[in-house]
Amino acid sequence: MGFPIYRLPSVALGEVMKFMDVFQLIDLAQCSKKSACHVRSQEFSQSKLFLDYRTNYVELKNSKIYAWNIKPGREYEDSRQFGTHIVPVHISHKIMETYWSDRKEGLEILVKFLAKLLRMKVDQFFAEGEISMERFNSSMNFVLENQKDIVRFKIGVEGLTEKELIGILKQIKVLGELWISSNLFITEGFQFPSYPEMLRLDHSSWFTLNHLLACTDCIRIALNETTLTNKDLDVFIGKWKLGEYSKLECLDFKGTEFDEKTSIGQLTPPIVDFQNQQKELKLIGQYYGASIQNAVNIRKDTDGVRASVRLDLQTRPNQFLFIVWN
Amino acid sequence: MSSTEQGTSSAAPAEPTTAPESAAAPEVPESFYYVHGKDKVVHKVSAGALQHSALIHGMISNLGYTEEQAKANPFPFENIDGDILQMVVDWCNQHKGKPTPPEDTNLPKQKEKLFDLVLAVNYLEIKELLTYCCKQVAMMVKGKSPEEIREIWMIPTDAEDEAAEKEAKKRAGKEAAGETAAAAGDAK
Repeated sequence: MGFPIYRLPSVALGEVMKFMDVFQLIDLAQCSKKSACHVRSQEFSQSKLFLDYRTNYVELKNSKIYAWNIKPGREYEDSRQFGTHIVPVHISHKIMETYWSDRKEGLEILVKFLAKLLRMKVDQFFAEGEISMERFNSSMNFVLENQKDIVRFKIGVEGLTEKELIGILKQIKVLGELWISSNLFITEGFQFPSYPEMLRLDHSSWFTLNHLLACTDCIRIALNETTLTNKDLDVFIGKWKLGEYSKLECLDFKGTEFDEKTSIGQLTPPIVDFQNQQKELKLIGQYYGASIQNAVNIRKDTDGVRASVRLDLQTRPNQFLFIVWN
Repeated sequence: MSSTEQGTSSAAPAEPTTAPESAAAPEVPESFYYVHGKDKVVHKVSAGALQHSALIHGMISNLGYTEEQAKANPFPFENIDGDILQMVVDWCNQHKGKPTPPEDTNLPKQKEKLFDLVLAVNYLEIKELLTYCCKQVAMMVKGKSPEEIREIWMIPTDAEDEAAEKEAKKRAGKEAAGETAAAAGDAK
């Protein structure tokens, strides 16, 4: 005799499901329509769905499901059904490898299947690597249809236009980190509808002082190819010293427009202190660490909070690093 | 182990005694209650052990039974097999006043017994034991294919579910028709 699971009271059934990992839940859902309904009725609000097109996997509940291209001639022992697609799989501890004729399409199917089955939002979406605009749009539309916010969003799709990016950002609020690695020039005057905790722009020549001044809730701002100048930074640091940007923990700007004439926060460049050999390290939020050496200290006028600043004009591109020690 | 009806018992005061504040508090005699399952075998269990069961704890919290009253009024759990109730009582005694460990390896291995234990524990609202049991149930299908899961957990196929649903509808229709006919007969 077996164990008649669906004769258990709902509390006990729910408790059993809490102890099942993602792969077990996927397998249970495949047993029957009723089983899929039971899986769908469970609450997995604590779990996070992480879709990464660069490394081609989706992660949830500490388990990863990879989507690979099917290898001709290879024999696969096991298979699973995702929606209407039955594909070969290989399962080992916490990792399921799935094989598709087109792995990007496979990944998209997996995400849609899991999000629907486990009623989960996509928590982190990394759209970069060899992802076509068609695939990106399809995945993006799915995310936009199902949620109003996302924790971490990286856009690195080639061919994305300014209009498309702005359209996306207007529809979804990025809470944790927005990382734009696409090479886009955003028209002057554009303002982000909302600012995340962390903003990272790999091509930021369009990002002006006005944008920077609007980052009131950011804890980390990282800009590559910035065209911000000493004067811009002086304005920003001046406001920080007067008590604004209280959440700020790190600025990491790389650019070629910094000079040695204009002071920043009353410090004259180059802002380095080679006597100060102490290397200081700090964790910034959940995703980043920062370290600084040969830095000069400045303090807020309001509460004396210290920050380390370094602007080295010997390196190319010049790096302006600013870390707050709360 | 629990003691049964034949075992010794100590009287539980109807009113708790209060100790003088200055003196070291004398140990309050433990209260005992009695439960029996389908087999009518009565188990004597301390109030401390019964605290694990939210259901029984709720029932006894304001009773204030004397030992005689408790003995004369065992709690009947007719829906629980005697051996399962024995397991539950043993577990409650073993974990009386102790923090529950992260694992419990003493649960029954036989699926039928585990099933009955889950039902009993769920009914008696013993949260920790329910957690252990459910974890063991989930472990049954670890690393199994959907087909194996279906077999282990006796999951009907879609066709079987549909047939059962049709049958249930048919039965409900018949019952409704019977009730209507009976009501019409009464009206006459």
